[in-house]
Amino acid sequence: MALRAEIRKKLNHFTLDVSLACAGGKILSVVGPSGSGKTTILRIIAGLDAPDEGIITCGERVWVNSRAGTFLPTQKRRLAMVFQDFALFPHLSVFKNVCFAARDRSLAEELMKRFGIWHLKDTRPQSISGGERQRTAICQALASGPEVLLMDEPFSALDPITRRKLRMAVAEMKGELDIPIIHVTHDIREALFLGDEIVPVVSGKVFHKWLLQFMLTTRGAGMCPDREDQGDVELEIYDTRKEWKR
Amino acid sequence: MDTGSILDPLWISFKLAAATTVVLLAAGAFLAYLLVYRKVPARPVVESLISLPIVLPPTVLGFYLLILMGPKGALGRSWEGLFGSSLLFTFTGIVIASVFHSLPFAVQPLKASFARIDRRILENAHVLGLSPFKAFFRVVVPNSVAGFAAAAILVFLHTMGEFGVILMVGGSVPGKTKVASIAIFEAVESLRYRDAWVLSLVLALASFSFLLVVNALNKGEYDGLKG
Repeated sequence: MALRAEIRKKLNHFTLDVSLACAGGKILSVVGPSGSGKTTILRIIAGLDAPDEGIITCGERVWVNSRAGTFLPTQKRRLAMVFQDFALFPHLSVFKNVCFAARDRSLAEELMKRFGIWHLKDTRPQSISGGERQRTAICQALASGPEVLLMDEPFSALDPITRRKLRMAVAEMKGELDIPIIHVTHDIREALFLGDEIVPVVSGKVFHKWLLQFMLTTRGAGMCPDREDQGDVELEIYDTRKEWKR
Repeated sequence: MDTGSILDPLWISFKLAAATTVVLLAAGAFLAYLLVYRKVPARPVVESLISLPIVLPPTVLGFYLLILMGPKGALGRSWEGLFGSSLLFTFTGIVIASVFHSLPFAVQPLKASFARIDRRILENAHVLGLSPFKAFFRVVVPNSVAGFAAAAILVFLHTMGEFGVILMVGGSVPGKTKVASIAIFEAVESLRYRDAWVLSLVLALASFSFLLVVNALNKGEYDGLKG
């Protein structure tokens, strides 16, 4: 099942205008600087915001068609989203959070064991670390059996070691899930590590020229995207973007 | 001292406060939900109308309700058409009047409580497949327990002490609409100070105990201000 989205929405400083497509079992990484409209793309796909114009389809189902006046409410889209700041339910234990929309409690238990948070099952989310909360959020999303998974800067609040571990876990998991995963990040290394396809977005537009330049630069330098010690990568992006703007 | 003249008004006050609290927890939660989570047309007008009973003299509100619930008023006429009886000077009539009078005491704490809930957890609930109705009961209500408790206590206490509105709409029918505050007034007027003392003491102690609970519930919110 593939997710396709053509979205146009006027924001404060620019108009978001993007087209995306992600096949089942693949990760599409949307990468770009802060304020480029990445999170708005996810919110529109999730139905938390409405586009001014656009079409979003998931397989045969039409979620949004602005011309036909179709707008499927969020709760009917059968998706899950890992929020940047977790958005766990503070009144529920970690296990109940994971089970919140789970079709099968044994799946919730299995996921928690796999992500190493089973020992926290009776603990409230506010009493656990950022990494554990993030793992809880991923388990919660997966346990609901979604047809599409959205991830909004899922690792941005984590320390480098936890971030690397969780990236690995998500990369391993993607092969087992036959659903489109749309992942948003400002970290190009994360996008290169996780994404089967990368969509760079700057000021609401897909920025292919920048991507091309970037890929050439990194390939030429022989860089490995999952390494954490490549501070010059982001510098290259920045320089190239400035050049493009000129 | 006639025990009936003490217990009857206290019992009516208690029944009235309990009925008003139940009605207002549901109605107040609905209104607070709309005000916090939905686009409400003419919001300042709606919010001002809800808060009006706080600043309006009870006799003014009572007068309007008397007209509205009277035989020529819209509510009174509809009620009489449906049930064949008048609303004025009945227990149901004073419950309706109390609901209007105590409305802001339910809506304000609930509104504050709902607004404190992180909007993203509600969005997460929708993303995970919950309709707004289900999300209200599974996410909003459990995260607003203190707000519901504060609203219930404030409405209950405010209704227990009501005087002007009740007198205008319900009069002082013994065993029906004669609440404790009216009984105190009448006891003083007829120089039955012992009755007035007992009723006042019961109301004062009940009010203090309930307020103690409200303040204990709110205590946690200001602990962080300690240097």
